[in-house]
Amino acid sequence: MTVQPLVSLEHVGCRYQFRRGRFQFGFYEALKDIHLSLYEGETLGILGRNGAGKSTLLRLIAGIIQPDSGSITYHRDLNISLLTLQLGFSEELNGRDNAIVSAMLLGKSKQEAVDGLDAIQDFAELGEWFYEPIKSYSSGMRARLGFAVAMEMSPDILLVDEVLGVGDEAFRNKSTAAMKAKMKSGQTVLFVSHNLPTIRELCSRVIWIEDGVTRMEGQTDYVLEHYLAHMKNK
Amino acid sequence: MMTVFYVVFGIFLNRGTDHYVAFLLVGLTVWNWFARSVQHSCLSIFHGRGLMMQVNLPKSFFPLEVFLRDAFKHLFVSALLLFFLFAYSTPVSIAWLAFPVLLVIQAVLILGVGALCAAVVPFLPDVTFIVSTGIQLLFFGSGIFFKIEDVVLPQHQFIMYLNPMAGLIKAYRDILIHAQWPDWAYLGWVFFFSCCLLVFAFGLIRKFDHIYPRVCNQ
Repeated sequence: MTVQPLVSLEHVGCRYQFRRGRFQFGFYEALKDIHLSLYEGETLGILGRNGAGKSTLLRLIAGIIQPDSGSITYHRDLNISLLTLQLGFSEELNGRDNAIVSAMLLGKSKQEAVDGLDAIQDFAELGEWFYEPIKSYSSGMRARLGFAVAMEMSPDILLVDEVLGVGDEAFRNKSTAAMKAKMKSGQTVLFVSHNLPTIRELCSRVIWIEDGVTRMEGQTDYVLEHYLAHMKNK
Repeated sequence: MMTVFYVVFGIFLNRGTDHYVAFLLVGLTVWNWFARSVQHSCLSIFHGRGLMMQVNLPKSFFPLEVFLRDAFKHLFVSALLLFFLFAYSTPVSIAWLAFPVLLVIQAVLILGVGALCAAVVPFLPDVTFIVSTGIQLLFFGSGIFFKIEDVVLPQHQFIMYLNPMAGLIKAYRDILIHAQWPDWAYLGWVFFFSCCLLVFAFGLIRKFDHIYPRVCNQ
């Protein structure tokens, strides 16, 4: 890991404003002081309890919202997106068109989207249903199509928020395996999960966030050990 | 609605406007495009809050998408309108050539007003009510079911034409029913004003690009 990071965050803070009454606003500091570097090809896990600001952190890195303090530096031009299933799906369009729209929303060009269609169709195992409007799909079929698009149209940095495996048992195994294979094959991933065995298996490094502050950053085993010890003492 | 207006104004009140059916139809068609499209635009960015929390995309996408959808529908309605007027007793003249020009000017106006509303509504949701009330008021002030020249005192008519929709509707009628060229100078001003509005509105949306995801989810 001597190379330059792809993305680095320094002293990043983010607070949410919410409406209490007519002109009253409450503030909630989701993140206070986060340090983080993400290197090419690694799978970085983010640990933290509910409400620790993990989802906010993913949104910040995806460029959806901007930090209130600190800075996020992208060291080259990157295509970053959250792993979102069924992004921008429209009921009236057929599976193929939805796949194209979804891929384009993920930052691909139309040509790239069209080129990826065969792979998506293979992965989703929808057969002839691929050409039917998705209002006729079952929720499992939608999930399969959504996952296939997300898998085949992966960006430079994939941000994953606790979704591994969708659909029925067979497809769940297949999608989990595909995701794991992708993580191990040099895809840069930022991975949020509560599932410690998954983190242990997939992540090369882990960052532990608590109360909006980076509590620890390092090798997976080392951080997990401290995290577990900390949780026991609670 | 068309029938109600026809019965009330065309028969009972009989203001004597020539070709009242065509007159009314042109007014309503032109007006409906404006009113629907602006109202749809109002909440476009706000309703995109789910999508904008998932991907980072330029927020001008939302009002543009709504605009294009309504504009596309309006093309069909326009075709029907022209077909009707072709069969109607009013003349088909060379002035019909100005029709696409008017469509473009109106499109720019709609997009400008719509985008501005869309830009403001996430911060002030109540603006939606103001816009729908404003559209109702404008409906009565745009000379859709009456002829401004017949009803309004001559010295007050210019006030009515400060409303670009009143002028646009008149221009459509000039070319489609009366076989006259429209008032190009007036239309030039409407176009200029609409362009300014458009640039301003999209500038605003661009400026707030990263603020919308937060504001909309407050």
